[in-house]
Amino acid sequence: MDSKQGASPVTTTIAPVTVKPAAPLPVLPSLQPALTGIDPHAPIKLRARDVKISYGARVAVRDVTLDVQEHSVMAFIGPSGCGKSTVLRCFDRMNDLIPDAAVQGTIELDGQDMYASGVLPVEVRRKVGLVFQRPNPFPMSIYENVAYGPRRFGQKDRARLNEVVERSLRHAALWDEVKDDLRKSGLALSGGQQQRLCIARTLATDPEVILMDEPCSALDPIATLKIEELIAQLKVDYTIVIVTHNMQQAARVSDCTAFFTLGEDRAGYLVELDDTQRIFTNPAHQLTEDYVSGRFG
Amino acid sequence: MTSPAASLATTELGLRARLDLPRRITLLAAGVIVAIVLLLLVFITWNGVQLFVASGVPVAEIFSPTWQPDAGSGPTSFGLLPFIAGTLGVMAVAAVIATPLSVGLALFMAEVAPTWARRITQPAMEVFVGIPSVVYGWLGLTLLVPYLRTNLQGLGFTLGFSWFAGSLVLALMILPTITSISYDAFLVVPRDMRAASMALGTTRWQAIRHVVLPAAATGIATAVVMGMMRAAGEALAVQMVIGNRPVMPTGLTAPMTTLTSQITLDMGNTVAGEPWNQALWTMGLVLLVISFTFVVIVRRLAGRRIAA
Repeated sequence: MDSKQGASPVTTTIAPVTVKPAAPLPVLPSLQPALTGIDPHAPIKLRARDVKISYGARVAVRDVTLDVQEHSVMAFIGPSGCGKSTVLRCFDRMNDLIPDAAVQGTIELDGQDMYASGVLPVEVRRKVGLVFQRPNPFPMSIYENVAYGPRRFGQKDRARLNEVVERSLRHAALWDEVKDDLRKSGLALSGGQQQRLCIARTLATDPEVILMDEPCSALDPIATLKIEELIAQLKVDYTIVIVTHNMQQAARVSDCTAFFTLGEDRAGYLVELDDTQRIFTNPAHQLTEDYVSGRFG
Repeated sequence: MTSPAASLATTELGLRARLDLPRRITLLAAGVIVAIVLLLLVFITWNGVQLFVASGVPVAEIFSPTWQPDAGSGPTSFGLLPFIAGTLGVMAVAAVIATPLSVGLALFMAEVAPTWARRITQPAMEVFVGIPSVVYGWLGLTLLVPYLRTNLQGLGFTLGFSWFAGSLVLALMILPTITSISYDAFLVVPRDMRAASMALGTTRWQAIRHVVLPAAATGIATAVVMGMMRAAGEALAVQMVIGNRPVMPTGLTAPMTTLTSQITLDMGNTVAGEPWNQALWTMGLVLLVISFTFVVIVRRLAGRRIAA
């Protein structure tokens, strides 16, 4: 189960765990958030080193090394099929649900390897929330959607549940719109409201990191704006990684931007990671320059 | 040179005739089916109500628990209650036995089974459906009934022929119906729903128990009702193991009878126009009412599913 190159298809649902030697991890030279006002000494929340994800024999994405600082927003941009979402889902161990997916390299949450053999995916997912591309509220009431997570984790006290539901809905900027009909089905809401409900549902489980997989791609511009405002507020309490196809959105909401593209070998890889402002104004790499200026992708 | 307008008109006529032909054929097919169903309904209803209107048998007697149709062996009584109670009873117990098994199997097929297992279970279900009912009855008669009589006599199975034997055979027969319909109900629950639950940090079972099962609930209810509908209409297999005793059901271990098995047993013994014969028609009408009720329930469930 060590770092042998996964040429043979791995058929277990549990991704192989790479046990790294105890050498200190290299500091990334490219990440010097001078322009964004993030504290450069802020702790690293998520740390990925040489991550490679394959489905059977096919490598989907390789050479992903990045740090996400606490209370910052990192955007993943890049052309379709370059593995942005695949990497994002790795941070939540959601790739474990795909039968032949395998993850190599290390991914750490607060310095702990989240793919180490003793770690349960369920525990990782409680600390890391995921907001999907399409709003996917459960077919139950607004209240029950938000109370779902706490209930599953054993919260039975009615007053505490009410409190969590209200706090989460307020935090997701949805409370004022739904406070009078919490019994209404979550599916009766508009697309933008549904997405904020899904965010509230995630907040109710008290995560530390929130991953968003193109959260606005199914929404109209006004709903998109609301989600973007929300992201700016959530940053105060959470660490956020967002995949987006919309470069203006990346520029508006994120502190750092990671640009992925597709290599000659049809596998995605991380080209460049920097302060968002620098990525969009003065990128180090020609590929990034071409992409952000709309010349390809 | 002919005028273009005229030639266009002629092609259009020819075309219209050709377009019309399939429409007429399908319309005819639909019309024939509807006509047959209507005629059947009218015919069965007409014959079914004769016991009430023409036989002179009092209505109170028809809904009594005593069935003694043969004038040769004493005063007659045409109580249909034993058959109605028998049909409903045997059907309900069959559903109670089959539902957990079927829903469990459907859940396994839809949520748990790896692809290779699904490749086995799905054709197995289809084969299951294809087995003729007489084979189920024969198996029940030669294996189940003797087993109950010899090994479980202590529980009260003095003859082996019993309510329980009928329900068990029926449960086996409706298993594929309930399984395949609830399997479909699980499949229409969006994949994202399970993923959403698991992304919150719940286990797979919690996702199934709290999201998939509630979302599929009306579909499962439809499956159970369809299974019971099939159970109500089944005659042969039940008749072979239930004991055919025209009395009110007394217990799972005792013989009893159903509407369908009584009709198949008695239909050769009666003469058209006499009350015994009319009573058999009434039994047929009751079956029709039962299945009509189920159709209404299924349609209401389907309506609720669309509304949700």
